[in-house]
Amino acid sequence: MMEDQALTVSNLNISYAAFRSKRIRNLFSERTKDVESIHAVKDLSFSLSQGEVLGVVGLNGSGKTTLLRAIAGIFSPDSGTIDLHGNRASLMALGVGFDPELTGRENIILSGMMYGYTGREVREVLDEIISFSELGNFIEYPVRTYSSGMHSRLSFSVTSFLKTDIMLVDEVISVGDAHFKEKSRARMQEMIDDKKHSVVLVSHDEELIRNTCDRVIWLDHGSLKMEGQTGVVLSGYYDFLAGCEGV
Amino acid sequence: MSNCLKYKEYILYAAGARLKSEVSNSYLNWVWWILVPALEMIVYYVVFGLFIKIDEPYHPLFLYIGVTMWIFFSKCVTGSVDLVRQNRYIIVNIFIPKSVLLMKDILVNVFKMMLSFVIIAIMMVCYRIPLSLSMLYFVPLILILVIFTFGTCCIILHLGVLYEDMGYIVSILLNIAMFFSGIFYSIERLLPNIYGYILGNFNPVAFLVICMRKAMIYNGDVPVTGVVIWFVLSIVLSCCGVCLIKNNENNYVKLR
Repeated sequence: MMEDQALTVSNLNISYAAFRSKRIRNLFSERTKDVESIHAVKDLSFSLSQGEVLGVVGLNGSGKTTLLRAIAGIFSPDSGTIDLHGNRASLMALGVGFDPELTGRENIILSGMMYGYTGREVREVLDEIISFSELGNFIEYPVRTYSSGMHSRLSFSVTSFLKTDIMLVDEVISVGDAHFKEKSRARMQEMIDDKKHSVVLVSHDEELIRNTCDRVIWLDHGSLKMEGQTGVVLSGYYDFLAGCEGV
Repeated sequence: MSNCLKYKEYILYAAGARLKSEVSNSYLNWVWWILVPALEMIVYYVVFGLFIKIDEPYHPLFLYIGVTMWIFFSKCVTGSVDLVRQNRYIIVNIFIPKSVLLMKDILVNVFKMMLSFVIIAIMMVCYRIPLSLSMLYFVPLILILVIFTFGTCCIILHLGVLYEDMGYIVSILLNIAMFFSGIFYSIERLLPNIYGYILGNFNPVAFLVICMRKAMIYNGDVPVTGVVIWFVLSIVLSCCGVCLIKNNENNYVKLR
């Protein structure tokens, strides 16, 4: 059974404010104490199977993004464990590590290497990335000369072509003009559906979660409120939302 | 060490990219990397050599070596204070060891320092300084400077995350340290014996600058024991610094 697992999260707890930046003049005063501690994720346990798409729903501030960052290794848990079973997990984010003075081509390599891929791995998909971005000759121009749409197209293309075992998606990204928006949305859908990756998908889009996810967890103030079949959890969640609006 | 190997390709590529990016819009391009220490050397030479009449054999070379090594150290330390904040978008989106970001910045400054040493070598030829075996100390001295600087930067990086005031404090401390590192005067000749001895041996930057001048221009005896001691201490400092960052780096992103 464990062989099928891509990710196991056990009794995960994450708090903020452990590293609240201080001013030296407050060092010896009462204000030094970290009074504002936010317990973002509370005693959370769940697992993800190979090729499974797990949806995460919850109100803003319920700990969804913190959870994704912890799985990506960006946050360290205060207690509990995250076992990736040897898989590589990457958070889908746009334009990480881009240098505006470098060309589009150089930025693809730089960003890819920053994600921990070797130069060879990045160069293997370089042509696909350039072709998908539809930037043509602009790929040899400094990124500072790009329009915001071109910048988004390049950064989306980089993110979507670097292979990872567990995709961590914080809202499905679709960028650029109407044509590229549709293209990027289709690409994201293709990546989620291909069953080669396991996916943890955070979204407020009910239709997307309903059509895409095999299973859903619902977070409320950092705790697991409900876990199970997509339809069942979504019904519970949207009934809860309707109740909130009625109050 | 494992991070260094895993991200070796990134460190090299990113350092090259940074160098290219830094000068891409300036008229004088990479010439600035030589001009800055050269102009500082000229200012110190005019003030201390011509106005205050402090005379040292091969004075321009004496100053250029000190200024080059000091600029490397101070730039690395200054850059490390805000490294995490400046790379906030990166560190909230992907995991990358923060020591790797530091190594990239240090490599950029190592390259600039080496370029200045090429100019120093050319000046040595012009001054007809004879070749000597003591010049072989160049490699270990530079190595110690880089390792010591890396260790110092690791600790400053960590403190810079915790305390917002570190930028101001580091800037003041660096100013004081510059005056006590014999960058534009000879600690051994101008300070009373005991102070000269303490500064020249217990201030690592002063010690390395003195040794480098002895090795490169004065064909003097470089104290081997001191070199070995500072090599070991620099390694220990770097190991402590890397451990400090490694144990805390996943909490840096929680900074608000």
